[in-house]
Amino acid sequence: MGTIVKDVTFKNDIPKGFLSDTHVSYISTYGKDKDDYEYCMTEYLRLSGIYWGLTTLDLLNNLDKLDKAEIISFVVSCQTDEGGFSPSPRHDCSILYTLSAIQVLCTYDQLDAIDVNKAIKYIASLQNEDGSFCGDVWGEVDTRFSFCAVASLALVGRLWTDCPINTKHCVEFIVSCMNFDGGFGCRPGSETHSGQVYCCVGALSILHELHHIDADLLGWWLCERQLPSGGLNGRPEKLPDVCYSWWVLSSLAVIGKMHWIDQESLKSFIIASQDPETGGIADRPGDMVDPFHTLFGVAGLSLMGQTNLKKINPVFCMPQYVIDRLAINVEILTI
Amino acid sequence: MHGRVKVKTSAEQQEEKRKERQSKLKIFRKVINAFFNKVSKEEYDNDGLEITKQILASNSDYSSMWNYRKKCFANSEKPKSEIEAMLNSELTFIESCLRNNPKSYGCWHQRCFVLLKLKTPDWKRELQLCNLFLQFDDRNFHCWDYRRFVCSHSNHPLKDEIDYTNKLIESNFSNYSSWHYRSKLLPEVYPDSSVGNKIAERKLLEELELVQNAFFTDPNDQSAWFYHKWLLGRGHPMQSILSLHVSRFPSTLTCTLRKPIKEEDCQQALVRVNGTVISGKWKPHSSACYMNTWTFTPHEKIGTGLISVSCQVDGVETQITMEIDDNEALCCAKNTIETFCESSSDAKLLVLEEELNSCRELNELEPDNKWVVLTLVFLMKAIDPIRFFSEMKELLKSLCIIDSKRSCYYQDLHSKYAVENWIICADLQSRKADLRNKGITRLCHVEFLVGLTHLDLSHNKLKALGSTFLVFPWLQELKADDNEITEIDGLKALPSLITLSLNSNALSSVELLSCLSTCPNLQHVSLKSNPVSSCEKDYFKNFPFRLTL
Ligand SMILES: [Zn+2]
Repeated sequence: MGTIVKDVTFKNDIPKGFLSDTHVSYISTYGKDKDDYEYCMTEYLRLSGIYWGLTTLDLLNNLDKLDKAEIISFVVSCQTDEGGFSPSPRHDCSILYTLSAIQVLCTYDQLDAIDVNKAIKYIASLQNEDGSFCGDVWGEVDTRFSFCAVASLALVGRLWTDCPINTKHCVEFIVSCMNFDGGFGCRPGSETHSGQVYCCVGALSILHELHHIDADLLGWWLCERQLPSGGLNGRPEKLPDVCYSWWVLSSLAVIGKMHWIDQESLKSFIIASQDPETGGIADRPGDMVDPFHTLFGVAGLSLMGQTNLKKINPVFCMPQYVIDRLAINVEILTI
Repeated sequence: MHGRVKVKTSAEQQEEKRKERQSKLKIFRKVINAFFNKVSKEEYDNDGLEITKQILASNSDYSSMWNYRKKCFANSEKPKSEIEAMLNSELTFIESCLRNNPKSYGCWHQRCFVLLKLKTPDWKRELQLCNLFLQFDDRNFHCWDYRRFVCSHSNHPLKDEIDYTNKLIESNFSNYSSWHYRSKLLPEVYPDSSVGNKIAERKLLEELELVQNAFFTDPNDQSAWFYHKWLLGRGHPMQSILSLHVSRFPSTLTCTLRKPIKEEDCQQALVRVNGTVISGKWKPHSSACYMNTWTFTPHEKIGTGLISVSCQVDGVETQITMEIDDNEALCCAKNTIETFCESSSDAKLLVLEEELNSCRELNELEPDNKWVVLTLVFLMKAIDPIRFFSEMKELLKSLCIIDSKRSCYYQDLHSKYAVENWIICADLQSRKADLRNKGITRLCHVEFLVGLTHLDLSHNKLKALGSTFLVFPWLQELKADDNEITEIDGLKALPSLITLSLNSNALSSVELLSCLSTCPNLQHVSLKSNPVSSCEKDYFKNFPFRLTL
């Protein structure tokens, strides 16, 4: 019995450089055809899809390729009577799409377009006694939702003044999800997963509570996500993936340990995951592209200093200039 | 969106696929519209349950549809027995969805919802379902979470769960999820009465043997190595006061803690002079919420004569005596090897020494296995970090070559150990630190060094003097010659700094030096052999200190 490292190898015909223009055309035409099969089948996450596409184009300096008025009126149409946002009109609202809506409106500097107070009330209503958050009225608890709550409140400027949630309990719950490897899972007892690490580290960074983290231990687990191909996986013994690469990389950036991985080979992995024919970035080389992985690929390259891209904020996964405009200070550890 | 391989297809195939999708889409839209019709009319009935089944069977992420079904069970005015039957058939439906998509958040949550609704849930059957799905994929974290949900609601004995992980680990050591589960179960089932340890020692020693068997069987599987590190190491250190400084003129008390605290924790602190509590105001050393170092300014000045000052904060206490002639006094806690690692009993040390020997043998068989090398380092650190230091240093150096992607991690780890060893042996009371030639890439544990007046970091591999340097209230002389420093923004507003030497570094522009203007007592800066040294003298004329270029 011996473990074979799960990884990918590159074929010969991989793209050489960063194909900025093809990504702009991929994202800006995505959803133009309202009868496109892929597009229709992803209606249940549309609002997050808009956040992925819009953020990608902004990072690529092409935000004007999108119809701003159309997007804003779509976001407005997704706010429900409960105050939260649904992925598309008629669907049920959840905290996931509430964050996406706020992210989109913050990038456009158009928060006034919605009933912000109602959204805040909705978010606050989802907090439980133990500090955790439900995703919606049906009661699923997950540290992802803690991140959504904290990030949303920070973006609308209600985390430090007139805060409607119990931040002390919120922090206590997140810390109770910490594991033997320094990482975090969905709930107390759950295994560490780099998506969850991103959410918990991000929430603690926004709340300036990073001292709860054992940065050396967590940083070691995170840098061990890098495989020989340069790509990063989400958990031990899993395949590398562009989206996990972002979650691991940005977590490392927040705890001041980005130099613990080999950034050059990670760049090559993302570059190899581009599709030169259609534009866009896939989960790994040779796979089908989608807007989700396109954003996280571009965001990763931005965080590693790729030229001609706007700077990304590692916690909010939004352009840094937006976070600066909102005067939000996240906590970032240094070595 | 994951794992869909792109296949080259002919134009004909594409057209065929387009047509197929077009007809699929037509049906899809029809069902979706029927669904939203039901929702808008608030009709929660069997018809709606059938409609949503059609979509959820293949697209289990459609959360509005799961919600609709939940409402059907909640709103139904049907007799209780009929609801119970509906819920049971829902379990069958969820299981079929899970077979299509075992990683669907929506499915698993629906299952939790239904189980909590049932009057007589069959938890045994649920545990068997978990067994089945984990047999199919023993890393499915959704299923593991569901398993923990089932166990907690059915009061399933945790010991049985340990046995279950035993079984999985025996059949395949490479099982991170099982090792993770053990890290949660063992402290519950075998708690330790003494402070700081995670598991009762008897069990810990058994566990060390189990994990050793695992990595000897499959030395390339990282799961066991990560788990082993956890067994060796310790969690967060306990709170303690590292140093207490008292000054009469100006009247201040400065307390540095091992773990940072918030202002509200400080307000609870008690300062006593000769046994009498005195009032005053606590201030942090910078604007951060949590700080290790806090300064107390009493409302009334600290008196003359022989006095004893004590400080009680965050559950810990220390005291200091000031002689008649002293204007200031500093008291630093004594440090030992245990300051930075868990103390070991003789029995545990024996096991660790045996493990060290076995790992050395394994290292000879597989010299390029980085996990073995790193574990040698961790074992040496746990047994005696001072005795083994030069060997640890060599091993970490070899790791930089074997595992070059993570070379900066190994260098930073070496730096940490080097500084820890220095702190263990140093006389911190002398307030001078000689950390030259340590090969360090970062300066950790600065909270131990807060009392310093002189610090020499020359001939190391530091790249930046970052915000960790903001902590030195009394530092007068800082030397960091012959490093690789490109940034010094951590030297901002150092209140006592008089002399700074940064010769032979990589400082490239005058702008980088601007933060030095905020050091109120800085008199002399030496910057020989830096790229910036060759700039026109004119650029430097505005600095309020003497410069040697
Ligand atoms: Zn992915």
